[in-house]
Amino acid sequence: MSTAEAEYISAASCCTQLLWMKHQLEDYQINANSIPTYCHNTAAICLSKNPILHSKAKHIEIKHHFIRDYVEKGILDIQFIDIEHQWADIFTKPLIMEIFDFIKKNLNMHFVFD
Amino acid sequence: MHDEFEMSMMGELKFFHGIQINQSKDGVYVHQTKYTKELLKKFKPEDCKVMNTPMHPTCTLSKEDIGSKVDQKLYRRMIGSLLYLTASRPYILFSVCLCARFQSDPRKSHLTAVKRILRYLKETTNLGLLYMKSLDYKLVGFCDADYAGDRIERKSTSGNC
Repeated sequence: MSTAEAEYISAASCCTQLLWMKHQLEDYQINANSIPTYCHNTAAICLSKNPILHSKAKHIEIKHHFIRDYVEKGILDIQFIDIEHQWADIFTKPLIMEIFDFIKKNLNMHFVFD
Repeated sequence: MHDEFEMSMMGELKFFHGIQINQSKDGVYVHQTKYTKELLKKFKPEDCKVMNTPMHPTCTLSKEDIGSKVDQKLYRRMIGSLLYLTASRPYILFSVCLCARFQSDPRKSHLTAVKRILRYLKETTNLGLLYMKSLDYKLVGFCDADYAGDRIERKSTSGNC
């Protein structure tokens, strides 16, 4: 169990959400292929791109490995992102004001003036 | 469909279950200003300073807190109200859900954390989600995990958007 595993599992759950959204969007004639998915752990990215069984990762449950199929098919494109631009941070840990406000702005949260 | 069901046209959707929707040329605003104001009035954190973030970065809440017990009903009411607010403010989800784990035995330190969220809301009452209109459409995923972020059971927090 390591950070890589935690990140890998969260990438897999992110993948399920993206696939759901992708299927929804297909009904609106929007076809998204090779969806960029950002993750800030290189080990997790390597795990998802390399379909061999590694002895250090053999304890990860099979259900999480389905992300590999989608990376192989080219539906998902997992990329590295630096910690400053990792917007999902806001959902996982309490942040300091500067980063919090930055992410909030990027999540399209705006003040309403009416 | 009019023949089959009884229905009437009431115009553009503006207000629904506490969620206010402003539709303009640029896009759609989804906010809960009115609900937030009512919530603040109900729990009265008026005589306090406002906060810039809903939770302190080094905040640790624990189950084995020796602090004095607080009114459980009040605590649960606050959590319930805040959970509904996450509909238009997804970014307070983490702090609200963290506090929600202590509903069975809320202590003073937990209540302070919840009050901090309210104090934060006081500063940002009229903040809402903006769905901008644009032709440039992209589906992008972000995923992140906080390895063993939970102090009690050492479970990892995962989040994606």
